[in-house]
Amino acid sequence: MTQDNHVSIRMYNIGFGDCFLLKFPAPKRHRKVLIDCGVHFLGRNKEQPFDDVVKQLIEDIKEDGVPTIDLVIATHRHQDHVSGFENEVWNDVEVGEVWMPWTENYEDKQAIEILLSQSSKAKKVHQLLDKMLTNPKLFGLEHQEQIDQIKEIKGFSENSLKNPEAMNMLHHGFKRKNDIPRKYLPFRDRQLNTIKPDFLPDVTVHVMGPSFDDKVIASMEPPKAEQWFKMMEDRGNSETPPVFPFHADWSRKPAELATANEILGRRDRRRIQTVDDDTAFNLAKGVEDAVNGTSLMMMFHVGNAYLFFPGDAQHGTWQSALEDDEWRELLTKTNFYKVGHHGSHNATPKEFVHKVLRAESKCRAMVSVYPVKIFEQIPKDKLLADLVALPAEYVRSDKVVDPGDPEGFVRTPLYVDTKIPI
Amino acid sequence: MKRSFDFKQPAAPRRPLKIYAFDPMIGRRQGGRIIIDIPNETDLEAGPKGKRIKVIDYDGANDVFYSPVNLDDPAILMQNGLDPTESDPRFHQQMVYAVAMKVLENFDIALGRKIKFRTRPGTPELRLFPHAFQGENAFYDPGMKAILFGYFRADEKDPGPNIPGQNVFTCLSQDIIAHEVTHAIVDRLRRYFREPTNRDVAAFHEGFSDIVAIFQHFTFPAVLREHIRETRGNLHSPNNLIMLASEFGYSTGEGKALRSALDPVDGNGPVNPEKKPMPDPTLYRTLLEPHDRGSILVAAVFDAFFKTYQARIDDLIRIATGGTGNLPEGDLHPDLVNRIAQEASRTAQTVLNMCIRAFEYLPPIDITFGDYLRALVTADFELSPSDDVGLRANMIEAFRARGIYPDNVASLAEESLRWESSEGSGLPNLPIYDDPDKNAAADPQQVCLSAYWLESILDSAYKASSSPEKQKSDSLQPNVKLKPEKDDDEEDASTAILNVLRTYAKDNAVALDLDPDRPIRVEGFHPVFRVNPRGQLLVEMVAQFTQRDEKFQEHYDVSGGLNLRGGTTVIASANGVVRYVISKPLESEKFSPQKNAEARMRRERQEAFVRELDQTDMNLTWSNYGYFRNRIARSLNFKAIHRTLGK
Repeated sequence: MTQDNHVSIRMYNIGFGDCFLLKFPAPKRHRKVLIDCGVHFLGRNKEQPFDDVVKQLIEDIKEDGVPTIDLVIATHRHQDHVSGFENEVWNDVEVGEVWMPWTENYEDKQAIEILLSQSSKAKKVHQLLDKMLTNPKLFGLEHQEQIDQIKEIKGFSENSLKNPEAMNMLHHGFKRKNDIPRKYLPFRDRQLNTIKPDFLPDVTVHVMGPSFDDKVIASMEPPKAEQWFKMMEDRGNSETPPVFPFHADWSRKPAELATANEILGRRDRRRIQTVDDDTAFNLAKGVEDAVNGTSLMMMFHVGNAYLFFPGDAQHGTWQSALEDDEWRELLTKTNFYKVGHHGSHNATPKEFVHKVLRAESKCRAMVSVYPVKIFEQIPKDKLLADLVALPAEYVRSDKVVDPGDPEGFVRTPLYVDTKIPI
Repeated sequence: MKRSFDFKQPAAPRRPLKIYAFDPMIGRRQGGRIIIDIPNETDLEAGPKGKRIKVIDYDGANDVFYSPVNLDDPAILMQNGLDPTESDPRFHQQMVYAVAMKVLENFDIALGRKIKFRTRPGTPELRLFPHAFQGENAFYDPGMKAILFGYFRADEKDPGPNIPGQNVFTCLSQDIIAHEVTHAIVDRLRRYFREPTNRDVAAFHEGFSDIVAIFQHFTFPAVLREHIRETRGNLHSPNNLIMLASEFGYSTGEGKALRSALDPVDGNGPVNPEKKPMPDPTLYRTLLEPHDRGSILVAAVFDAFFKTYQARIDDLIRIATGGTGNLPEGDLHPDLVNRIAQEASRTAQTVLNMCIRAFEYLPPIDITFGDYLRALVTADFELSPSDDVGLRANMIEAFRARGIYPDNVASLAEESLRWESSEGSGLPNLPIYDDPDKNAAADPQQVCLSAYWLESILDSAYKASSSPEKQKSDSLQPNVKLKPEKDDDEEDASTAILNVLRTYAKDNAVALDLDPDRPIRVEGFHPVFRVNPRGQLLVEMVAQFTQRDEKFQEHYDVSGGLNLRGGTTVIASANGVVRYVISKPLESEKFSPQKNAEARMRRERQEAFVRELDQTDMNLTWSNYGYFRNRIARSLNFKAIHRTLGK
């Protein structure tokens, strides 16, 4: 009953995050692949509570009452891709195999180094932001505006925190716990990255990223900013004396100096006081990007279906993929595209849209996204317009676009479906 | 000669001041303090506050002012300034003032005119804040027209050569001060060099500022003497001087390209004094980050400097070694050390002057390293056509070896690299006489100074230059916070010259590579004074014109928020004969196909650069529309470029 001639793809309306369920036809039963399940702290879908979506997902994968997935893939460990796995229901799910990026391989020394530096930096940033919110005066934060901004940045930085329960589920959990085979991809040997899993008949998975290029690996290292941290920690620690570079006799507060405003006006003084205000955000962004660098990038090929899932991969990995002749050739045939990183500007290179995607492929794209105030440009309008102009068709997880969803997509409040013919 | 009883001693022309010769952040050295001397400003106020430099010691982190130093206090004057110390903020103010004044003096001399900062009304000076904030950074803030220096505590666990937890001040590094002041001066001379229209623009700002910092440092013979004495051998390898530069705290991209340009082929290992250096021409194609890329420029200039310096000390070595070239064992003779140090410092000054003077010969916009090479060659040729010390040839070779080729030149021969001369091109002379016949008849060989013209340019040029925004029409839409300062109550500048120039530009637009169908703006105008090889004083006029493609910017996706501009620098002699037209054209129907091809290439290069920056701009993902519309301009943010968030 399952020899359909198409692959079905379901994008869950999960909020600002990713959760995709693929069903491949096979003898006796569909084979199911789940790619990510998570939502961003700042991007929870107000209309569809997250837990309801996860419940729906569990229902959707039930076979004879037992929730079953053949392959669970976590593209990278950002909260908006893995937080769903915290839920205890996953302990009852039959999972065949789990794939994660090679940076998750606890037996790989380099992977451990990268993980540690990413998670420790993320934690440091988060803790510092916390301190700044509990004691704003210590950090020179006087205006509500500044405090609000720090709150947002703190929410932003949650995304890169460890997510221990979720990761634990992925590494050691699900029904059969440690008996489930886990793969850490891609392999350093390029040949091994063309995978034909035996549980996915007729399907070839090409694992194109993350690249092992030096630059990409360097990009997985978050910014150090040791000096800045030290300074902020000193400030926040009421026991450390403030850094007075000179003996007190040399200094005068502006109030004590009659000529203060002549020497330097109040506005200029303010400007100098706030000179480092964007460091916290830049740091948080740097950490976020470091983790995005670890994202898996894969193409599923079965028959005439070429399904491309780049995760949140960035410039370096994209470049490696596009420069590889075999992979580039495959990419030109893409007829399903999970738009990278929730539709942000440079998670989809212009080259891909204008030079690689083909009009003949009649590509269908899905953008899993939800409006977040500080992510004003996600998804990027121009990118979506360029896709439409190709022509290609796209939908968003969170709402219907003007004038309506294109044909070929079926929407319910909790998900959007499409079928790609084989 | 009678002298009155009340004879008043005229003010001293120079003021000696002590500074740290080496960056105390990287350790203390024997002989780390020197005395430099700068032009004496009478009426120097506490701060120090002079006519062009104002030091304000405000600490934003602690919201306090520190006691300002009065350099005219007799006790301080008598001792060449305060003694170098880290614990007295007044010495820091002194050092920042001294080094900044030295940089200004180097520019004044090389350019033959006094630079004035185009700053906000009421504050005509460049402001320096020696202890502005806490952080491991120092930067020029174009919005405030100020330089902010940070200070921080040395790491407890990894303090380097400092005491753990000790205060470290960026304002005590000669190189950092000079580097930042240079950014401010470049911004004054060419404000559009803050618009990164190609890969070289930001890199030029960084590289050129490093060049000034390093070479100014080398002009202090006391510094070199010590080093030459210590490293007695190996005067044939530049590596020792490079090591000296790195001891200065020269840390442009960790001196990567400088090192790899002059390191042995096997790459980034420690500088080996024995091995022969080999520049890598692929770096220019691959390095994008402004510091890294700027280092290539520094390496090229350093290369030329070193070869020239070697040639200059050749005879000294011959004399000292009786022709064998083998220096005797043990210490070098102190006289030899002195003479070598003198030659090194003389050569450094020559190179510094050449590098600064080249500015006059740069287009107003869209600079590339290739343009700079052409400007260097032209500037030096104007001053000494015969290239006696071979500096020019060395410079050309050094750039070539690093893969830096100017646009649109036929070959790398010197004549090809010089900007094309406009004499005899048929371009009418600048109308400096009232009588049109006189204008037409001006003879390039006849160097004469029209009294009216000279008086006008001396008087009004500065005023005009300092507020080009006074022109009513043709005002460009400001974007990169290049908002014209609202100085309505500034003195009425003489606009006569500006009008003359604008009319001239309009009338001769095509010949000046300006599109006659677009508004033309007189960007700047000033005279230049130099002494030609025959010992005559020459007065030249330099005018800059710009225009822009009005529609380009709005397509923010393609433009990145930058304007597409055209511009021309015109250099004319005092009698009005136009000698050089240095242009970056926009496309125009009135231009020849060749000129349009050139213009189109520039536009395409700018667009490609925007795409390139976009691809790797991580801020773009998380930003708002305001950022998007201004993103490329923001990429040239000195604070960010200099910040060491580090990787």
